[in-house]
Amino acid sequence: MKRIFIFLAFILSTHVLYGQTFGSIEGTVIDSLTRQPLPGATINVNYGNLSLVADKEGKFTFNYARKGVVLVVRFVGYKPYRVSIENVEKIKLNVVLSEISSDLEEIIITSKSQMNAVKRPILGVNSLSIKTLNKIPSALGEVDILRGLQMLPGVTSVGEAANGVNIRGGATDQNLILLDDAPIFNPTHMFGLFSAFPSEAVSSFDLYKGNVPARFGGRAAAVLDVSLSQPSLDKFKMQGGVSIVSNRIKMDIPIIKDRLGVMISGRGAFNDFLLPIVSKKLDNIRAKFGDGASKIFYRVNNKNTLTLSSYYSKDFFQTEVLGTINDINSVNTQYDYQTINHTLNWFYAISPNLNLQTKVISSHYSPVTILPELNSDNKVRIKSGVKYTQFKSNINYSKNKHKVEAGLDAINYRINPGELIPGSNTNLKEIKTQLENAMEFAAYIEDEVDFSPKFTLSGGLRYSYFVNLGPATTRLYKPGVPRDEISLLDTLTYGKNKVINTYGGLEPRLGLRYEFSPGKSVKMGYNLMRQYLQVITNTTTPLPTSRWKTSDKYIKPQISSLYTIGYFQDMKESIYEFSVETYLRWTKNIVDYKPGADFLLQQYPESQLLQGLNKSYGLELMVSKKKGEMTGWVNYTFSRSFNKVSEGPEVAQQVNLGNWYLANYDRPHSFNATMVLNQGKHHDFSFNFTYSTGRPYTLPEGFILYQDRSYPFYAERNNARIPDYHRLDFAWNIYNPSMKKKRWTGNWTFTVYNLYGRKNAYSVFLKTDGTAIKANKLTVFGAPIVSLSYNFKFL
Amino acid sequence: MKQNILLILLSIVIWTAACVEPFDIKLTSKKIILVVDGTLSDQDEPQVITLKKTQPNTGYISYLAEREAKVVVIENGTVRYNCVEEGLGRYVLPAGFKPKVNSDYTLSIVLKDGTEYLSGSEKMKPVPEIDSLYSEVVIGDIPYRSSKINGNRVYLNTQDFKETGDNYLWNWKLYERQTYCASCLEGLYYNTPLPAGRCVGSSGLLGTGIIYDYFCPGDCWEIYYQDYINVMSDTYSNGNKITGRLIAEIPLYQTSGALLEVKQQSVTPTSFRYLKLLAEQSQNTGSLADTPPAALVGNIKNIKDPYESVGGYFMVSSSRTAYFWINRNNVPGNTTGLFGGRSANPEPPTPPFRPPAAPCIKSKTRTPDKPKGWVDPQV
Repeated sequence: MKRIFIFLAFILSTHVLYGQTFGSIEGTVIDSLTRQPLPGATINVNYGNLSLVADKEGKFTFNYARKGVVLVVRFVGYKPYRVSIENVEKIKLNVVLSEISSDLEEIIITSKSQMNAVKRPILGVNSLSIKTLNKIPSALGEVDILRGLQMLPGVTSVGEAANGVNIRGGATDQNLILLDDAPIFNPTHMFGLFSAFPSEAVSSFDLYKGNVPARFGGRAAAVLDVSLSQPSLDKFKMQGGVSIVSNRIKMDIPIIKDRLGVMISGRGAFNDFLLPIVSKKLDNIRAKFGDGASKIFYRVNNKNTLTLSSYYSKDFFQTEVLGTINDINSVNTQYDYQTINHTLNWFYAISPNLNLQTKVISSHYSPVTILPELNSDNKVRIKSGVKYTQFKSNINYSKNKHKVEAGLDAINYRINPGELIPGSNTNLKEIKTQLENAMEFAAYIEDEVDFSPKFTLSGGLRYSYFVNLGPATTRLYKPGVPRDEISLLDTLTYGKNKVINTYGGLEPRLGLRYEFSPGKSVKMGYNLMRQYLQVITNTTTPLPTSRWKTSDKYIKPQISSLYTIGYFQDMKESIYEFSVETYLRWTKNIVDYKPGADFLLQQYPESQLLQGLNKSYGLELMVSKKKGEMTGWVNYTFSRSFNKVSEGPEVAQQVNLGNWYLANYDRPHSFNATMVLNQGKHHDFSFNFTYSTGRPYTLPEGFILYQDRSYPFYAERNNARIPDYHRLDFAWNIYNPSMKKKRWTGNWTFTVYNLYGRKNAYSVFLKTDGTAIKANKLTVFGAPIVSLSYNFKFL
Repeated sequence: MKQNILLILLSIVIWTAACVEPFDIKLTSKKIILVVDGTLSDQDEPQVITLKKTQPNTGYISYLAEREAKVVVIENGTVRYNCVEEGLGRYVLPAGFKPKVNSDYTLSIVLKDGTEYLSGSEKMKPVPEIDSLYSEVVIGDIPYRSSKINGNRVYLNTQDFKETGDNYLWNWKLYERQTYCASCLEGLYYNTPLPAGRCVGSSGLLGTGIIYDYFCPGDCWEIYYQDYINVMSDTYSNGNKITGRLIAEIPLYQTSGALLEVKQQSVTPTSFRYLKLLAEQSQNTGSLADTPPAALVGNIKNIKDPYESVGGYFMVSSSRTAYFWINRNNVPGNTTGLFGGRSANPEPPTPPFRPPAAPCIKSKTRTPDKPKGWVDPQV
């Protein structure tokens, strides 16, 4: 997906042709999805005899010779519209343009494209718009992109409190999550319960789970590209809402009409006082979060625009359900984490076919663990952080059968892995771990070629190069044996900006589409991606405070190769779409952990982790109904994900004795169904049903004794499964109940999440209870959750 | 904001949310595993190594004592101490044996079938004295039988040694004054045969669920034990004081005071990692982000088959003990008593013989011997 803001200047020329009969054509150019006008769209008449530009309302008008005329309507980023008109005296045209992707990308969700899957030159098409997301049921009335994604094939998670999603057998940190091009390192609020994206401010989101365009890199599995909405340049607008969880507001403020505008949005959740009402177990939980986003758009002139997007997110979370820091004495554990992102984008339209985009991006994620001490005002803090700075520039060229994009990219990572700040406690040591400093460079080129209406090829090549820089002290271990204090040979010291280690390589991206008969096509794709930054954590889902780590001398980049093939078919005039896709992914150098690994303030994490291989494969079937009173989709996915970790012959160099084992998120069968019953302008009903095989967990091989008490003794990893998951949700949306046309309109959404109150297991675990040991099941949403939210618009 | 709150309260109905409930699964061993439970300590107490084997597929957790094994503790690679089998898989080191600080110890086991096992070498590290123990009164937050009640939290301070890599293990015993020494369900107590006496079913009580409790004739103390693992390393506090370490959460069993005996032990870094993992996999589970359990690799290996799963760990540990009197004068609320929440119910007197007194029989959970540090009430 690309946000392209282009304003083309054309000279309106009129050709008066004498001696002919004339007709008149009036037209309006609009976006297929938003139904908003597209000012600046170009109308090319008879292959260049006449060129027009749609006005700010997307309208155009002209007279033509009635012997016949061919119109081609274009707008950058949209599929051209062609029409031939003959011998009509007067015609009103409604030109609906659909956005296109510039390559053979697999966009499984896009808020922008309504093109059918067969025609679209991308692999795997299931469309879901923000509008649809607003209609389908959500937990506690919070519109949630990450939960919406999980209704689609190939996207799963470890459960309802998962801090991220797993896409086609990938770990959560193998997804690149971007908000206006700036990476989001922690995509959720309240430890996985809600996604961190402010739904009011998001205009679109695309998930690339198959062919990832060459402009994206740095993660092994998928890319979720979320865009903030563009500010209105002509009218003040406001919208917002209240739900059980949060209060939201968004405003569009035009500052200079048609040139400068600002969008600001904010969301705050301070209703944690309600948690003890929900459950006594939540008595000690304190959870507050807020996020804000803004976007300033400035049209410098007809060729240049500047956009500055900013995002701020903050969470405070006090809980006993996430464990504590064993070696620091405190009365409880608090988590405080924030993200501050900025993206500056300069768009320069060099010519109608050529444009240049240059971006400067920064992202700063800074989690803190706070440990209040007994009988003291002092709070011990453990701080860490990721500072990400990126410069990227790309050029887009589109002519005839080619659509070319090429670019350069440079990223600087500065990571503070952890810092212990004792405050006034003089008994604790102030500990600082070594800062990480690394650069990632990339150059890429991609061309999408329409060889014929039936055959499209997209070929992309990315070269990425990664370098660790000093200052740093690294360790040298005896090769072939476990990395620990015993095998330590030497330490090496590197000065500031001295190269410690480098990695790099080509990342080919290839996609083909062949439409062998109308409405039927076959697509194939191959993708190679390299990942130089990962979360290192041995928990089932990363904590907000989990450590990010760049590749280094011992932690090699993860390299993923994905092969995909799919069949797509339109039925009944594109009302129905059917698709089947199958994939196979091999990922080298996935990260797993030694038993008892501890990364907190760990100076040399290589001694705690191991690397190995992941094998994932799957089959995804989907049928969707796009039009009519009832819309929705049904999909079934069969998918598997296995790991194998064996760095050497010793037990300490292996996980699961070096044998294949199930990934924590391996769920072989999943079935999702979403149905929206559109009941006119004022209300609709929707249902979600989801089913998936329970995820794996580990049952002990036996029990051992310590001081006469039994403890579980584990051997084979992930040898059992928690019960299957299924859930039905319901939503009733009531739009503008007053039925009056006013600037202020209010909508109500009534939602029941988990309608039949199934107590789905989030985890199954063994716990000692006195001298006994018992198996327990943890449920996150174990009952029907009813909520009512109110949303308003002032347009 | 008021409107918001009203709106929210009116608009939501939530019956329950996150919860933990029992999961129906049979916990049983799947194969035979040799389990070694052995910690040598420099305390004046018998030094015992226990050998058992798990019994597979019994439908419950069970062990079988491993008999006729040859168990030897080797000091500094040269001096061998042969253990004597005491029964029930218990192998006892010679009387008077005490491990010495900074000495290395290895455990050698030869089973009856000739299978040989050898532990890694463990060096006994010294341990500092406990500086102080102190408590705070806690209202409604002390765990007790799936609920939370009033009681005391006891904390510890100690001075860590200057050397890095000190690791601590704490254990406590709680002594509560016991007034009743026998209980009979739907029956009456008779103090014969000696020494413990017996309960005899009574037709008048059958089916009533009535439990009668019988007074002790003299002093008696109930002993409670810590049922979790409490370990800590000095990674973040090396050479400084360790303060405010939570040692015990003691419910308000009775209004009278109780004695807490706290043992502070040193453990080696490898033992610490083992115990920490043991605790993580059994005590700290049930969070939203558990660490998936991993193979618990101990320090005992089959000499010929290093891949054989051997359970347990051989540890040597220096220890120091301190006593803390829990004065409950300032703890408000109802007591739970010493019968799991049930109030004591003495048999109604029917003179001249009933009810008889029941002797305080010394066992792991009860003693007639006044514990060291016990504070008698002021008369």
